Amino acid sequence: MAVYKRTYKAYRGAMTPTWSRFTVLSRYGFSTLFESRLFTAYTVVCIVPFLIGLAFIYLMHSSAAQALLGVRMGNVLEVNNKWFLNFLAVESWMGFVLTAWGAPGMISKDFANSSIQLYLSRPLSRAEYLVGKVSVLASLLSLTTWIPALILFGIHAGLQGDGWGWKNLWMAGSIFVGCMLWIALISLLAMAIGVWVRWRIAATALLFATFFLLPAFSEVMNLVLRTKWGRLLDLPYVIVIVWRHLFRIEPAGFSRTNVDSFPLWAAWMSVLAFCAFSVFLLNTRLKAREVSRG
Amino acid sequence: MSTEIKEIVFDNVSKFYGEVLGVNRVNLTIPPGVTSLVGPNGSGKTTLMNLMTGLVRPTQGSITVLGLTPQQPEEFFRHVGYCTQFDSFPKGVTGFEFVFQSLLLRGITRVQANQLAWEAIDRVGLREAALRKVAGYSKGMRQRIRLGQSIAHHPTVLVLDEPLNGLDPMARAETIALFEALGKEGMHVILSSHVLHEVDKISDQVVLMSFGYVVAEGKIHGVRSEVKEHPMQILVRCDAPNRLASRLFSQDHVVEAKLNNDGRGVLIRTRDADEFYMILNKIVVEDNITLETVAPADDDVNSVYQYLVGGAGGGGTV
Amino acid sequence: MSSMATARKSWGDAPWQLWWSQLGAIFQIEVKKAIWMRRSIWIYLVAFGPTFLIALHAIVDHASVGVGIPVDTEMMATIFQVYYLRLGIFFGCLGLFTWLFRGEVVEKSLHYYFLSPMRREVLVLGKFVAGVAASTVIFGTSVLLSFVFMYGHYGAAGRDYVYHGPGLGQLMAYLGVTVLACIGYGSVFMALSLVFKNPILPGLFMLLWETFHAVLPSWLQKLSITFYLKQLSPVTLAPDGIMALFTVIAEPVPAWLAVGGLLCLSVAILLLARILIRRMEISYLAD
Repeated sequence: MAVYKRTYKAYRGAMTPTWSRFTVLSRYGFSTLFESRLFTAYTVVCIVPFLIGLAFIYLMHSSAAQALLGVRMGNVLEVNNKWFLNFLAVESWMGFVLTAWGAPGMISKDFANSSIQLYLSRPLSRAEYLVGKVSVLASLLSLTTWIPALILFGIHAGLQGDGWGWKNLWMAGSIFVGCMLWIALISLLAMAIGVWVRWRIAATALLFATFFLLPAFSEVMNLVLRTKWGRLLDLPYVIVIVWRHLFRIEPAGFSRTNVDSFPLWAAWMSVLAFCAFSVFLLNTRLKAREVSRG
Repeated sequence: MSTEIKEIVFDNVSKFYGEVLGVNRVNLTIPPGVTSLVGPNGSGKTTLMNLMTGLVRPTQGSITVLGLTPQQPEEFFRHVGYCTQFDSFPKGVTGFEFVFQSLLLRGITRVQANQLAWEAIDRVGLREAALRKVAGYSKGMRQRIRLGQSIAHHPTVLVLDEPLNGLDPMARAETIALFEALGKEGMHVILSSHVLHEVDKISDQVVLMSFGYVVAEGKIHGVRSEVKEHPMQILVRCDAPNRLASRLFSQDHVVEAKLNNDGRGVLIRTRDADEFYMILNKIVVEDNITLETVAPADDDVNSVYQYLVGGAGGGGTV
Repeated sequence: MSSMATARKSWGDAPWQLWWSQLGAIFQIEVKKAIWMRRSIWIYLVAFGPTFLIALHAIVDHASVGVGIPVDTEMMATIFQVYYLRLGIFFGCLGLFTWLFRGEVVEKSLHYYFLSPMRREVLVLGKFVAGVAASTVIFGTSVLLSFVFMYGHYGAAGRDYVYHGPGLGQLMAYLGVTVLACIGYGSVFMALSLVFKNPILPGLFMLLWETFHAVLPSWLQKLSITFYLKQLSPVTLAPDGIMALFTVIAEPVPAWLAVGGLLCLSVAILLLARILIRRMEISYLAD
């Protein structure tokens, strides 16, 4: 074709900034998740514990409301580190179901339909792809865990007065760190499983198996080999050890057998090892599909 | 016995997928021979085939195939073979296993199934690749092995959804010849396609579909003559096109006479083809004109489809 | 003709030979898929993980030889009741039985079955029997090997316990309960996979139901698979702490009733699956 007849021109128009490009994946991730009415309804249900907590704190500080309802709160339930830990335990498990529901499909479908190559052949790196996906989960889980917990902390501190907030500021840090650890663990694990098991349903099952079956296997290991190190595989157990440390809770507060004989460093190591292994799995799978760009 | 009935009958059949229309109020009787379902993507061809074979149930109306329904599967599927559009296979099977297993599921003995499987594989020309995993097949080979699977049990009714997709020209020609042969043997061959010129050659009758409705059905020439608002085009090649054009143009039913660029032919548009042929004979004798060919120029599925539906028929596809 | 006579005639006219050969064909195809496919590896890991540990115990832990049979009997019972019955077979069956139909939808191959001259009831039964056979082979072998490793390393004392003591009876009971567990869980998961696009979340609900059914009213307990299974387990465990959830039986029933009850429950669920499969249409949407 004569040069003068060539009318095709590559796009040279305005582009979105590179740093924010991953948000395209996040936006689509959110819209896909909330296409399901059931998922949306469950997300709303995840806010219920927050509302209950809010009502509880308000009732505690309002003698008028107590009198109106005919209840005397007294010191039956104190809002302290144990209260916040229990609140987070409930929210975390609800968040876990949320993750198990949404996360495997987010990434396994890209692999099953071979669309991952399309993403990675565009100006999107492995890290950006992952950040785009993880940010969806992290935002959702944040909205159901540490954000409501910190709001409750702030409200209680305000109502309690007397410098309670300043004295217990470390608890706000514990809430944030504890939740972030949980979010990182379940998000990365869910993503890694979704990458290796391309069928969404199987990926969800495997995630549940990791949190329910693996602890049972670890107990079998402890029982048969007469050891305690099987618990390294028991994620719900090790995360509780870490949380308990973060929330400065005395060992007596826990009824689980031999809970105190398991060292804190081993619990941290187990959680971090699971996170690192998940990142390794993700990286290995994504790297194999990345289109090299000059 | 119900199979004495030779037709496939759709009686006021509608299918809705939620609020989305699949097909609507289809009344159709398909006799033996090669029948083509023609229409663009989304016109309802696959839905009609799935309804026919019981893969989906009608929202209203009823369908019988040779007087049978899918509710009598033992008898129904002994007579029906369906090569779907799904390019998927049970995991890990070889081409032979795929055909062989489907014959075992039909209750055929292993010895008999083995023989029938090889016969079908030979018929679609895949003997050499039959013992390889289907996962390693090309698209054309996968299409052919699925075709083999659907004819292996010697069905009376063969339903084929876009059977020529993915085939190279050689395989296309062979497959079309196979369909023609099966149709001539007295089998119902119902195939869907959006490549009009291919099905045009082999179809005894066509069903034209658009947006879930059957817009026309019957033998292609019959359907064409029904389209009154579009005059028929007939190309006449002869040694005196100018003279022929002037004589023909004086006729009332001839609306246009257009000379070919090569000076050897004239394209006539007429409202009455029968009258035209009579007049043409007369003129040829009177004016001593030597005819080379007389051929309808738009008496094909492509043109009929364009006239009825207004789809782009260029390039042979709807 | 009376309705009884009509029923007898249609029973006699039914193509039994065809159905039987079709069942055989489905069985062969599905068992091969379930046992030899790569995706079943995790089920093997779930099943044989404890076997591996017990084998390790048999090799390494010689200190308990001769004095540990009662301890190991309790250990075997705990592993069987808590690990295998509640979780291992549960998750194994979840994987195997949901794949039977949902997997075919995912791989877009179910229509090959639906286009065969086969009643859908025959398809349900064939797939179910194949699933039970595959899961029984996998988990039965693992329980058998665990038992062999558990008592094998005791030598003559172990053999004496098995052949002249309660050992053989316990083994038979373990294997019998394994088969029943595969039937019970299998029927539920197959039905769930026909109702839900993602049967895992209802599966999670079922896990909670099966775990906490002990605290429910007695009539609700009877709608649980483990209610029947734990009564058939040969060794009773002490109801300490959380173990009470797995061991306490509020209203025990005789063994024949437990077996019959579980089979009736499974048949009822299979009848439901029959209705569901008859209504099923082929629609391969993204899964």
